[in-house]
Amino acid sequence: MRKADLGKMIEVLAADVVMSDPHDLQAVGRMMEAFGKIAEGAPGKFPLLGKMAAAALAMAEDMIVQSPEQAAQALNTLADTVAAMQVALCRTEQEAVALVPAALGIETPAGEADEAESVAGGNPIAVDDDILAEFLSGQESVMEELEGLILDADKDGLNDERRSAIKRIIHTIKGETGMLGLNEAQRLCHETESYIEAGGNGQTVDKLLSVKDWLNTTFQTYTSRGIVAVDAGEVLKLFEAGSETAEPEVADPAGGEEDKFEAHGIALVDADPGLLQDFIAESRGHLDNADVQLLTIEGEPEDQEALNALFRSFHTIKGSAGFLELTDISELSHVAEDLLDKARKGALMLGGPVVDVIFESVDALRRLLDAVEKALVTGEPVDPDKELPALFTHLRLALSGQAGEETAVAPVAPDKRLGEILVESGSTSEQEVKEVLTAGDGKVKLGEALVQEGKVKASEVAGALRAQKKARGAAGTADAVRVRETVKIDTDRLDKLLDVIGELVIAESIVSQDDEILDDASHRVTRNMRQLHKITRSVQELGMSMRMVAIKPTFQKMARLVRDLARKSGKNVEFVTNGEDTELDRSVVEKINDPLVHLVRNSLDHGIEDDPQQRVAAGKPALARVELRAFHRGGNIFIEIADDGRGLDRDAILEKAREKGVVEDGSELSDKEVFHLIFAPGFSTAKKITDVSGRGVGMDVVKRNIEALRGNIELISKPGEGTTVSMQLPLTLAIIEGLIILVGRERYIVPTLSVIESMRPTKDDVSTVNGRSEMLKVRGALMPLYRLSKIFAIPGAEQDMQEALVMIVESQGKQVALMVDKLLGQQQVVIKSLGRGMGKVQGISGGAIMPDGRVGLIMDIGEVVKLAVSANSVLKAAPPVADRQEALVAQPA
Amino acid sequence: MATCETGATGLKSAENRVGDVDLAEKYLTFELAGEEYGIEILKVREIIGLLSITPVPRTPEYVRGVINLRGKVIPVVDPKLKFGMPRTEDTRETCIIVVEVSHAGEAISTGILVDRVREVLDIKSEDIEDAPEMGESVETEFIRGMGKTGDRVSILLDIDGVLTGGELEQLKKTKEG
Repeated sequence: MRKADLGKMIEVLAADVVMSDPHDLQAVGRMMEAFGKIAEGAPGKFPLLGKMAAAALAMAEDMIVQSPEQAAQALNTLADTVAAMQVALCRTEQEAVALVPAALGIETPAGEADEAESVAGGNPIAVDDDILAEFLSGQESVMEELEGLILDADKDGLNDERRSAIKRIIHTIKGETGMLGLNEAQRLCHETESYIEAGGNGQTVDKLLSVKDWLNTTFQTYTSRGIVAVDAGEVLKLFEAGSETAEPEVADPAGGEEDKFEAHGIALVDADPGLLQDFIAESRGHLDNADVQLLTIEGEPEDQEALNALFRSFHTIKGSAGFLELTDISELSHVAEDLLDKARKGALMLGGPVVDVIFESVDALRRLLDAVEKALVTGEPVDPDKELPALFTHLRLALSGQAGEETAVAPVAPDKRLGEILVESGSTSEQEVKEVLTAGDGKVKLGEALVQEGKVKASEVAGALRAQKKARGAAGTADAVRVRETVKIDTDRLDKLLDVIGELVIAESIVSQDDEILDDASHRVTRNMRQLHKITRSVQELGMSMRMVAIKPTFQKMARLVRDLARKSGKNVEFVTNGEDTELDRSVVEKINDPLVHLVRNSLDHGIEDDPQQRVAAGKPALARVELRAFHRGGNIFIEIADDGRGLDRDAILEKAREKGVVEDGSELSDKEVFHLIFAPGFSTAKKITDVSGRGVGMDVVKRNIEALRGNIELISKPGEGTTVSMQLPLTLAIIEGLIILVGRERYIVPTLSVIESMRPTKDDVSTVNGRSEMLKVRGALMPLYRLSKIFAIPGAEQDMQEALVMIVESQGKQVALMVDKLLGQQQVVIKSLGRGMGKVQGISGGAIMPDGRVGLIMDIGEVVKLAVSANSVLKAAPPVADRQEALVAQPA
Repeated sequence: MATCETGATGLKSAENRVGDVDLAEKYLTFELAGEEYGIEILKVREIIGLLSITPVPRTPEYVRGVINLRGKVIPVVDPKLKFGMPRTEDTRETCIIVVEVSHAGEAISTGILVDRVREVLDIKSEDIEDAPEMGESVETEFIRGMGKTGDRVSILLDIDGVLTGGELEQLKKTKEG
């Protein structure tokens, strides 16, 4: 058998072992078959693997005749065995030795490898490049997810849901890095995992962020520079120092409550055996009923009738148990009843985790009833149920809404070990886990240790497995809607596809605008052409949508930035995001990051008042608010950042502008115009204005970046009420809305966004300065007038001002007039580069294929104006066109 | 026609760097102002008829402009102007040879405007002579050698040099200046 086949088989097996129920004979049969095949097929290279498979086969055979408890335990051992087999196959058998469960009863080769030792080495071993690349390419999104979770935890507290989600991610990374031999990362993940399991302490979020940052940097280093030795010592120190002073309860909101509950055990004092027997029988009936109702609710959380029935069951048990002084039972059903009551009132959503907790309660009640029965028969008191405190914690957590926030439970990875599953499903508490961990010095696997030390009964482990399976089943339907299957595609290929789609669109328009088609096509051809047009458009739209990504990761980065800045400056800021699912072109998302960082920084540094008292005095809440939102409007994307800080100081800006001569004395400016001044390059660096207005650092850079994205930026501010910066961005960088203009025989495309208006001037509107530079008067305002034909040296252009057309364009905050021959129309065009052989051409930002198949050039208005200005100022010095050509021809020599 | 033969091999052009040994290759010959020139067939992507060329402002004169090559925009260079030969009117036989050269690790497609495409010639390396010194007035920088077939002589161009070799940088400098 080949190694790959073997690996696949073990993978299937791993899923089987985790998913299946010890009583599911079919599954056991499947496992036996697989173990048998592996035992036979394992190549000589893997002696341990073969041995393990053989032992596992024997164990699985025994399972069929064993009691449920024994079988469940055997299943655990099998799961661990499969995990060890995976390590043996993917890494080395040496490392697997330490993982072979003792219960398997096979002799492992001498020289027991210490797992902790083997992972501590700083230098990684050689790794399969493909696997590594695959792993690294996936890490970016994993890191984003992790950061999002940590930040959520920072905002709303680290509840069980988030804790286990974070742990799941860390655990997965640990496993993967372990397999890849990235030892430092694995070690860090291991420590982090233990830390989270131990409950963390007050600085949990900071530490987790440090871990995330370290991992992120490391993975990026790996991506860019290959595997190099890294050192996680610094980050690891965090945990050493932290664990000494760790107060597990601090971060655990329910930690304090856990102590309040004490299981009483079953002591039957002065109880009527007849009544008790009736109670047991009756309650069992209720519990059976509860199971049915729970299953209904799992499928249909809204089912009020099932919920009421469930509530009644618990209520009845509670009443009878209280009467019979069965404290444990009555208290447990009481809390469960509270939980259900909350759900009944609509204050709580009965989602996966909550339903799980109730399932657990039902199981616990069954156990308690069994205990009562036993006590009744033997007459001996029964010890308190060890599981109850943990269950109570879970119930209380659920009651406070923390376990029920998310309705869907993320599926557990098939290779997840039982220990993790136990904690996640809530069958055991962090406290117990912690105890076991401390006892085992962090080197023992939880599930095994828990069972061995008797912390958890094997049947409960099996129950946890089942509960987990149920949770997975419950989540399955929700996930089917939410999580879509995706395929990773090389961006090059995607771009090529878009190119081809572009060609298709062009070809289609060339055909449909052909004279022969336009003039004398039959009705049938016209109809077919229309159909073709429709399909082409939808292909184009689909293609474009493939480049779209949600802005969420960017917003998340900003959330982190706000958090860090707020902490540094000691300001209390609430950060709100809206519309983070808004999709933007990949390239826009990449480029929007820097401007956003600038703006967020400005909002926090300057916008938000330093002293909360100032805010209170101004009648605002002490907690400042910064909002980042994204939304669609009219074919554009808007990204806005709003704060409720002190706002811009209009007078100060104006004063400074007058001082600098940017604004003439006495001229009346609108608020908008005044605020726009801060985008002017010189302005931003002026220290005085920055201090007074509280804005402006690098605002010109922000504006330039946004303009480079062919976007617009606007600023609305009210003194004392806050500032909103609104950025309008195109949906995609690949398409542009342009005006087609004609100069001479050449067509050019001018981005519609840069054109303010176009007009045909009268003779009186134009005046000449020094007999050369021309000025245009538009509604009393003078602006320079440039002829495009001159700037681009286009022959045969219209020279008569009255026959030509003038476009008023804005560049660098100034309005200038550009003279062209004619406006041909408005059109959406797909932007293409002029080919790498051409390089950058000043004044031209790219080309577009026009409907007739020719190339049209897209003008970069900003550069065109710059060219015009420099040409005007050095007109005398600049060599005429003929000279320039001569120089060029001479150059190749 | 040469187009078909070149399609498959053109891709390799980037790796197939020159070296005197490799000169025994196939060459595509074409006409510029009556003279016969040749370029390695490995560099040729395809040959297309004259398309409508969009002139690009503020570029050297020998850059005739850009064309739409099946949705891709590529520049078209007129070697005659580059070599200081007189500009001639385009005729029905005027063709654009699309060549792919690698520059700074990137494959760059460029169109070369020629008066007429002639044929594909086998020229062995021993039949290639260094370009003779012809004094200051003759441009020899981009000539790889003179290829002899029978009594014919073709001027073999170093097309990478023509299109890249410091040329792009110069082009940029010109534009900036």
